[in-house]
Amino acid sequence: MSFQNLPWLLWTLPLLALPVVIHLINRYRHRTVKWAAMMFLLDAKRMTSGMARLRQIMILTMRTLAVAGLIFAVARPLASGWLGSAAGSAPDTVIILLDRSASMEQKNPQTGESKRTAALAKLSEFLGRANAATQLVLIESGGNIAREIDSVAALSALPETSATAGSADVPAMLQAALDYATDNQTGRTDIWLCSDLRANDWQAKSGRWEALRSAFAERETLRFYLLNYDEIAADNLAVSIDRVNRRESTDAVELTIDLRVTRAAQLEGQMPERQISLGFVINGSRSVHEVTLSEEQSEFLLQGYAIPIDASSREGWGSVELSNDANTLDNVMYFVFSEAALRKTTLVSDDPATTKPLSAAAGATADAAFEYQTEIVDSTAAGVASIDWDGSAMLIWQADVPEADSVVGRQLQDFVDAGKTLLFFPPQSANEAIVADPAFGLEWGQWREAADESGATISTWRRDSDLTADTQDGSALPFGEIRTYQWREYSLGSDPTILAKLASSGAAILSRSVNVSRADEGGVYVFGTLPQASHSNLARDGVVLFAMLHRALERGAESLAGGNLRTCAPDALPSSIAWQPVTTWGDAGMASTSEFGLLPGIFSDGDDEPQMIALNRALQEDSTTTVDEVELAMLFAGLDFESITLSVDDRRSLVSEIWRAFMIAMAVAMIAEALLCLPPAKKPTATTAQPRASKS
Amino acid sequence: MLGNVAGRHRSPVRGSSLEFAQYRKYVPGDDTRRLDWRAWGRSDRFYIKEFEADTNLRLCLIVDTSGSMAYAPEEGAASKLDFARKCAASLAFLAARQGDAVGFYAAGQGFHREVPPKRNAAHLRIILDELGAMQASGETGLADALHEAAERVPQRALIVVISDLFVQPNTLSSAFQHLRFRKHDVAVLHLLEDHELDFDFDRPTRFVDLEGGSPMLVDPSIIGPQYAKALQQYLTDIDGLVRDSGVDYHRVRIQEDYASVLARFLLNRTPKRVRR
Repeated sequence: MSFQNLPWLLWTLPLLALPVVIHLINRYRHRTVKWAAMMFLLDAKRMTSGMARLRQIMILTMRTLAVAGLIFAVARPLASGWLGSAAGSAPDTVIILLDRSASMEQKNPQTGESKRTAALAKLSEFLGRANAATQLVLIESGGNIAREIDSVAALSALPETSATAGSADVPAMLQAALDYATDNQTGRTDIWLCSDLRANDWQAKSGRWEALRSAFAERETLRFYLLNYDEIAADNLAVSIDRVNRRESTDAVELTIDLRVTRAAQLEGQMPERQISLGFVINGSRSVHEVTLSEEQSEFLLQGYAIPIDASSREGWGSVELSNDANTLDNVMYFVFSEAALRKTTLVSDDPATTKPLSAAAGATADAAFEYQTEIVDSTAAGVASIDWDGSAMLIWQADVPEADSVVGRQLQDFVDAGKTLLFFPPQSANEAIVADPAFGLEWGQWREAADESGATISTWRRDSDLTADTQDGSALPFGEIRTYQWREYSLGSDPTILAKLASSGAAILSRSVNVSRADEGGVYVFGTLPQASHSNLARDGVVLFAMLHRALERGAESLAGGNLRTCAPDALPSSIAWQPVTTWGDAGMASTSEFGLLPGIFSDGDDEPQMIALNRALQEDSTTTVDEVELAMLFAGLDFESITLSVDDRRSLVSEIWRAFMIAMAVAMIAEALLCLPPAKKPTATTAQPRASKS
Repeated sequence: MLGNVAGRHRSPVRGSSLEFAQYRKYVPGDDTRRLDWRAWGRSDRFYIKEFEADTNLRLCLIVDTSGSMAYAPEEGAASKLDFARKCAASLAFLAARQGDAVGFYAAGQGFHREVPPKRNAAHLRIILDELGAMQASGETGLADALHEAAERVPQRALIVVISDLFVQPNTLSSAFQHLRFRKHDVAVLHLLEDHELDFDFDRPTRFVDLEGGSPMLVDPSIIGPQYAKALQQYLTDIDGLVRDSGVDYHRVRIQEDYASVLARFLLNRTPKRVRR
């Protein structure tokens, strides 16, 4: 409970003593009477104990309560049934952690209010009325940056609180809150976390939670409140696109689309049959395809759905849409397409023994629908300058690692940022020039040789994903047959992802840099050995090399060939380009240009031959798995934490004025006081009767 | 009433008079001159014929002069002592006028003033002077005074006690029984004032004891019910006490007209037979 008119309350609080003061004054202003019947007074005083004194104390208490009720009512008390925290003064700082992930756009169909807007409205109302003099700080999932805001009134109107299609990283948001509290040495701090508890956003199994708990536990002045919107919308549909290809045959040009429609798993077991209208928009033209979700079916796959397009449409954009339901953000998926891109690999190497097997493997046709090409350039400045940066889907670099800040270093970074694949192979010579800040943090070490002629085997490799993943039929790539005779040590930034390592020394033979922004496309890979026979049997038993190179090429080609399907993230759109929205979900005018990366839609770079990028929600947001109460309690174990469960159509306020309750309390106190003051009913006694007849 | 001379009051003993009282059986030792021979002739039994005898009266007025009798409902109003003074003077006058002996005792801690009963006209003046001069002060000693009166008044008398009786009822009980044991006819005018009965004070009041005790600061709203309870208990005790003692008891509010009080006292008073 807090008070809107706190100064009034503080100034008038001494009036609580008024009844007692009046009582004392009344006693002091007594009159004096000469009295004969003292014996009755003495007897009465002896009898006046217990109840009579208690009654007098209760009368005074009731009078005090009545005054208190009036004072408190005028002070406009605010109460929150959930908070319980009440009593104390307003916190010095309130940090709002806003989950702006796609799942927070689940709406109440009647009011159109989403979980995000509902949480913002409730917080605005509460903080506006209860904590007027408090420093407000906003940390939203789009940027995880602490921003001080002047007024809570504008909270809902801030671009930083608008809808996004990205996912949230709740531990990162809490870390930002902790950093702010630590850096600014905040006093009493309330942290309000607005979220729908989606498991992928909370990452409850992340090791960061333990560190966060320990750090927060050291600060006793922190309190956590969770506005918990974990309700899952019934029968909500979501659409996602797996692949879009523009295929050209002799007689037609068409787009083939692989997509899937998922139904919220919440209602499994009671899902009725449902007709779904799939709207396809290609370059602004709309067509509809009806599909049926049968009873109990929670997922529908539509593969190779062909839409004829004009042969002159060599590139364009489109979307797949579902009719509106609880969450409109997951009802649309954007894509761009272009002519089937050339799978071009550029090799930068001065070593023909290396380039030969690599070129052969990368240039081999893996899919007849595409054309494969390799180009070899030398590592001289002229050779590097001739690299077709835009046309290449994959770059194999077997040369000195350039400095990160050099021209070539920046080109490499842009290449990777564009979603393409960069593979490093170790230079033959170990005498390259040492640079202070190598690109991607890659530093080559010494060459090592296997202990015997049979070579070193690969003991472990990652089988679930990435270049070393098992094949589609579930069988593993034959990494066990790979023999390595020479390999070169290296370091790749901090904490790289090791995809394969040697059994004998444990040296990483294949790693991936984690310092890339787009995890689903391209990337930076480092091989610790070379394919030629003197170093390994990668070329001789070429299956593994072929599979890895084509997987890497495919990842890089995603950004070229009709790909450019990206997941919304703060840096999903390279900041060096002034992107212009072509079509977006929601109102792009409401979002700042820096937040375009969080807005699903089609964006163009505005050139004469525009490059278009489709941004879509993070597909993890479609998962309805939430953090349960037990996990939640464990995540905040030992902290002052309170969870407030709400639904999007919950009209209750976090805070409400309760002056009426105090007025009623005052009235009750006054009635009680009046009842206590009532004189006891007089019985006719000898004291009032006429003197009786004489006895004689 | 017993007396030395024939007067206007009926004597408790049967004597020679024209007014027949009753028959009773003859017992040896009775005066044979009072045998009713006619009754013997009719019934063959001996009966003594008794007649009412008239006698004079000894009136002893005992007025309580303790400090509590100075209580007056308000400044300048008549006090209990004033009321007692009027009643006592009136009774003395009436008794003297019809030839009865009148005595006066002012009872404080013992007897302050004492005028033994006499039957002459000048004696009334003395009593009236004493009544006029008496003052209320000090603690009450009514019970002791009554015991003393029982010893000092040698012959049967009508003893009229005028007091507020603000003493413990059990102490009064023994005093009244002592008087009755001495064959005295005892009447009590119990003087009370309205405020004492109703305790109708509405704000904290400091009560100063007229008999010199410690003052008390009291909130009547708190203590009122208990006061009423204590008063009720006292009056109940007094009622029981006078009933057991055979005392002619009159509860009097001093706001009443003293003449009507006396009239009620005298008219309701019937001759009382004292057991021999």
